[in-house]
Amino acid sequence: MTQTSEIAQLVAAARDGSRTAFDDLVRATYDDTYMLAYRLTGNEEDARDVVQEAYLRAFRGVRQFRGDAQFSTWMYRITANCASTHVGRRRRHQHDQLDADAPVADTRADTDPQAHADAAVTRAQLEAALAQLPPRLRAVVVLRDVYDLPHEAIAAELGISATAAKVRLHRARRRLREQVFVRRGEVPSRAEGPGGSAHAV
Amino acid sequence: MRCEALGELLAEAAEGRPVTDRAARAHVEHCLRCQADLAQYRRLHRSLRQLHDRRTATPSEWVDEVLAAIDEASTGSTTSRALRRAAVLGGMAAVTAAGAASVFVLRTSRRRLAG
Repeated sequence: MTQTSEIAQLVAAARDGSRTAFDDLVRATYDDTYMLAYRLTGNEEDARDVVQEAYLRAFRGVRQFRGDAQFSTWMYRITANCASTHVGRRRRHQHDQLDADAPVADTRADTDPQAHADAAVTRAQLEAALAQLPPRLRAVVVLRDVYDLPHEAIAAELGISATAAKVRLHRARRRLREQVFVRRGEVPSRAEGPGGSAHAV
Repeated sequence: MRCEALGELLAEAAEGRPVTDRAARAHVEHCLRCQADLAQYRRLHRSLRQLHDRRTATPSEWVDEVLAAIDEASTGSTTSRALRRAAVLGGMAAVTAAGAASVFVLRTSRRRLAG
């Protein structure tokens, strides 16, 4: 039996009220859900809070889960919503501590010629660049580019318009690209806007 | 057409979305800078997708903690991790305050005895 069909069976049983099935669902999907929560919140404690809240909501709502999406996608949406609330609450109380706590960028590419020459985007570089993004930009790019959620779903879970989600996504991608590639000196940075250095064609 | 106007379009094209604007497509076909940017956005997109498959093995206690919270929710006595942590921190603060008060009282008593 594939993992997908096994999860589908567990979802069906959980919707019918089986607590054991729901517990098995938690066990089967916890690592994945935690990874998303960690990427959205940027630290372990918050991620664990978010994951717990997400599973509690899922438990309360599993009977209403229609099954027209994958359970994992449904969990991603709930987790995104919980993380958005959690990060928003934390920002109000702790004055942008998320940004201040973000780890510094991996600067090996600046000093290590071998790393500089390496054309591949290293995972460490990308993770560091993601961690440096402001939470509102990081959430959108993680949900879209890592977890493949549609713009509309992202907008709904973050409580913003689809247009705002797209604008944030573009900003996030541009910053990531600058962090990962331009810092490595592969291509000179170009400003976007009327005063940019790009040439007209 | 200016390169800087194409940033968002290039990022979307890197996702696999076709460039329908003829002028933009013609520009990219002849612009090495935009082609380089497109290649970078593609690499970025590919690398971000690969992050999805990265899993971290979490301690089983974390899962147990969630299951315990669901147990509490089932019985109608939910306490979130955040609330529980706040309670623990509150308890620690109370113990610390009590300790400080005891030290203060002891010192005051000794001073009185010495005086």
